[in-house]
Amino acid sequence: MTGRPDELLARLHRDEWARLVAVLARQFGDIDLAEEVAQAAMETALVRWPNDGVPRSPSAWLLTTARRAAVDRVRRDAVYTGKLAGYALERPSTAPPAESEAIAGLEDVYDEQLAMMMACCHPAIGPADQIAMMLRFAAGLTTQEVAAGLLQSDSTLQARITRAKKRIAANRIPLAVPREAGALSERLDLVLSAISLIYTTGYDTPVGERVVRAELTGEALRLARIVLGALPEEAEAEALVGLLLLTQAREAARIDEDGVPVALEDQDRRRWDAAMIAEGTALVERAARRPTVGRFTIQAAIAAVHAEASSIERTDWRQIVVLYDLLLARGDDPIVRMNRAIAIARRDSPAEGLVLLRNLEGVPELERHHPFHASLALLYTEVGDAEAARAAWERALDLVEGAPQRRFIQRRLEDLR
Amino acid sequence: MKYVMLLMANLDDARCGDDGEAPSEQDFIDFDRELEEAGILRGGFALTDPELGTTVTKASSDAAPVITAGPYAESREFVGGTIVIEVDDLDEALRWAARCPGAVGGRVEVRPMLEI
Repeated sequence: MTGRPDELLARLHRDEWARLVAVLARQFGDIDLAEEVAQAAMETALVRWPNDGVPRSPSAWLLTTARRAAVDRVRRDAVYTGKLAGYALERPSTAPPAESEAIAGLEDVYDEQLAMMMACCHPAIGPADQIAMMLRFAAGLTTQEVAAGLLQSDSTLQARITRAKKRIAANRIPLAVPREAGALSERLDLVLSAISLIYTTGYDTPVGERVVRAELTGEALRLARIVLGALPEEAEAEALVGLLLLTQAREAARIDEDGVPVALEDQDRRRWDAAMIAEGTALVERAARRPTVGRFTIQAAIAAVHAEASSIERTDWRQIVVLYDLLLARGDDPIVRMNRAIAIARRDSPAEGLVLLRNLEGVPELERHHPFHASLALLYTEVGDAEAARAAWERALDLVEGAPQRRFIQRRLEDLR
Repeated sequence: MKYVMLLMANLDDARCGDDGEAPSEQDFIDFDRELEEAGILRGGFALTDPELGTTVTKASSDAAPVITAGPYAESREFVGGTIVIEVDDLDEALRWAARCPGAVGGRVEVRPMLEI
């Protein structure tokens, strides 16, 4: 590692704060203590490295320094001693680290990070708080960054984090990966759902000037990769990484030079990222060959069918309808029914798709969902009913606050004139 | 760590009556034995029907107590009993709560005991 110590530290803070806290929290069973000593280690480094030089393995140095601070803190503080007495705690030595220990840093701590995610996504923590905790403690964003990413005020976000940490500590929610297969797959599902929600939150921002918040989409992909790193045999983890890659691959074509979204049928597919598609498709294929097929595997398979097609017309809509049927067989979901109706419009005819879509009118979840009205508008246009199309675009416009998405709809309205 | 399972039921819920779907007394006795054998049972109690309760409330510390017959009128939910267990963490407590007959039809609220 090279660079000035302060620049290096800023980068380490960004890349390794979450891993450092995860390892310490797991060892000492206390997130607050872990945060405190991780911060202290960073501050010590800021003072010492400019004078003493940057250690050979900076992350190992940080971990060792933080561990010592934690041990000191525990010994000094009767409250912590009492609190930690219940944990079968292996107290680390305070002797200077041996060379081998110093080298073993944070390079391979998927398990600790997964354990932290499992705690963050415990069902005893509310869904909105889970997302906040994941971004703070698994992705390592600052509370201000998380608040900005989730479009919440700093104080709301801080309150979420405080409440969730208190629940983890007071209830003794284990910072551990569940051992039983059943419990593991249930919790994994919550972790993957949270990651997927972080991605979608970043993918389509409902307000402001930017459609995409790359800090969220990028973190979601990174977190999914960490889960897969820890659980390489889990098909759904594999499928989620695949799904995110296949979606991310369209990024360059999805937004035009004015920052306005481009509909799938109008995207220049040559601008899709071929490397991401290759990696994503390989993951999906592997996930699909495993004995149990979950919802992310099916969603990723749909994304893969889109990715391999050279145009909307050459897309295998027959296959896509089959995959949506598989999703619906797992449980009814209005959004999936909406997407299936659109696939039917492409496979059979716009009129047939429109009938299915219109059957969904009045479903509250869809009435609030602007893509539902946009889909109706597109199919009305295709069957030649400009009046109904205009009304549907206007309903979509009423639901959208983001400036780029509004421009997208306004352009469509102009096209109808 | 000690956790209390609060066995909650609802006055409006038909299943907490004496019909066939409600867990029987024997179900609770069996569950108690299971906890005993696992070595984690630390206490608990069962309660009589909520209609038999009497509610006391005071507007302030020196106000006269207001005594009313029956449970707190605005709440349809009541505590039917409690079980105290001592286990390692919440996941283990939740696994036991999921086995509790009180979770069928009613609900079991798991709360860590405040250690003073």
